[in-house]
Amino acid sequence: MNTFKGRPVIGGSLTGEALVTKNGFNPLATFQRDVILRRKETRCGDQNNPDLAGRPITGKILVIPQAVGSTTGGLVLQEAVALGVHPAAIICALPCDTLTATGGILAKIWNGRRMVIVDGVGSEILHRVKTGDTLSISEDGTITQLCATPEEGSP
Amino acid sequence: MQLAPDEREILAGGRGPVLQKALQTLVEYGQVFGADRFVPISSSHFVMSCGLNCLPSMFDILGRIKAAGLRAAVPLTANPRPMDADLYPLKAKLIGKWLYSGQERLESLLGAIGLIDAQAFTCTPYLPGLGNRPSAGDVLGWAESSAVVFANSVLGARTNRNSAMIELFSALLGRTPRFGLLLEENRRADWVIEVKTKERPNPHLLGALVGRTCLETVPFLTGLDAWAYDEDDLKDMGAASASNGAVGLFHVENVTPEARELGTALVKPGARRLTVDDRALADLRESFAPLPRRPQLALIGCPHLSARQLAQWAERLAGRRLAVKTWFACAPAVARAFKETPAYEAFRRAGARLTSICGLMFANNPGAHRIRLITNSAKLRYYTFARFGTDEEILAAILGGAKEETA
Repeated sequence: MNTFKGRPVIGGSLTGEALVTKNGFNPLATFQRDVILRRKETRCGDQNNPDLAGRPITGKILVIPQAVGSTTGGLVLQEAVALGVHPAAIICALPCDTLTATGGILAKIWNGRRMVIVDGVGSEILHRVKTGDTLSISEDGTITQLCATPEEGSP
Repeated sequence: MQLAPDEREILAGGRGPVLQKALQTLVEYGQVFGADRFVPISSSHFVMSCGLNCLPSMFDILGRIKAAGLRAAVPLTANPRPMDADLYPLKAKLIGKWLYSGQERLESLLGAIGLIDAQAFTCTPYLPGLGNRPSAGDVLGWAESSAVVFANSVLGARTNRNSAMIELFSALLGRTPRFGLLLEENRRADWVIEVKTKERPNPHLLGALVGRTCLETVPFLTGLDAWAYDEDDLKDMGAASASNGAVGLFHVENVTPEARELGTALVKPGARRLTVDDRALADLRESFAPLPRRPQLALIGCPHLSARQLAQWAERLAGRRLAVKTWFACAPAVARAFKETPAYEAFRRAGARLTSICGLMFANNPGAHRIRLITNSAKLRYYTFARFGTDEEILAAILGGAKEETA
């Protein structure tokens, strides 16, 4: 059972299913279509991110290096949280970027809604945790890999 | 963060709940990035200038700011408008009307909050005469990656690559958290990019290569002084580096203010190095999809064109007739002034059209997706389906593909 330690940017404790990408997470490209259409769930709309494109993102624990892209990304992320289509948590392997931080902080302060953000976890998490694994996050930013999905090809 | 007495009062709600929330947002944002305190800013530039009907949270915040009677404490400009009803094809116009149905409301809210004037919608507010040109050493609360990189690099001002709303709250409070590119130690170069080309490097291609190489770090470019890059070239190079990567500051040896003052002392010990030759730029160009054989529309001006760039294009088009619909995008005030110059007549006769839209907003309009769009901008290429060509390639394409005629 692997554990990782990060900094709680927006603290909280929860357990959920991991969705992992080693590429930058682009909030505008991910959410723009589903936010425009006011959908109840989001599938990632970023065609430039092969790990995420087309995958359901709502309620997942999104594990990313950092967010990238347009500086409108923070607002789009806030709107996704307001609409309730956001990931339950975002874990940044690197130090948090301005888009992720702004999205989470705006939603917390202006919409009264919380999306947990943990940052600075280290790049090892991107290699050890696979999409589909169960992760648990605690208030202090400790992340525990509870259940790993079997490696492809293993019995 | 250490807070001044008035900041503590605002945070305690002494000046109303809206300003309290705005400051609380900046405090939490600053804390994430290790800010030690607030510093005064001299201007702000707002990135979100399209009235997207799908962002009720943004309208809610702007509405609360207006209702509380709060105004920007510093000059405030905003990014370009998303629509030009005179130019847009029908489908893009209809979809745009629905998608941006909040446009009028957004502009009225920004006006109430203190936009410097009703025409202050451009991604190049820093061009001479547009009302938001910072000086070296000024601290700013800006967003819009291309404007941020220009202000930092070419003008020697200091701003972080802020996310939308952070810049607006900074404007209301007249201050911003001190961290990142506001600090001397973070303005030193992580990369040395040696430009050793035999031909003048295309600024958009060079910027894209620099962005891909350096990501969010600071490059120090050498060899560009030989090609006499002017402010417009640096504007286009910076925009490409900020979109293809996340460059917020670059230095050019003997050219940009901090490089002129400090020279190679700006380069960190152990900085990585890259040599850029003609081959590297040609390889990058070839990695992009080729221009379509029959383009339907060319969009030139992402970021917006300067008066000088417009005049250069007018000169290229004088006495010719465009075979492809071509829009030249620039700030409203630049367009107005250009229409008063003698060059405008030839430009108009060639069939060229002036606009002040955001090319990116146009290309991202679902009603425009099937248009075979070409551009000379590596930023527009990165974010949209637009195909890239150098100025020479675009010129040949819009004149009907006719290469230079041989005698």
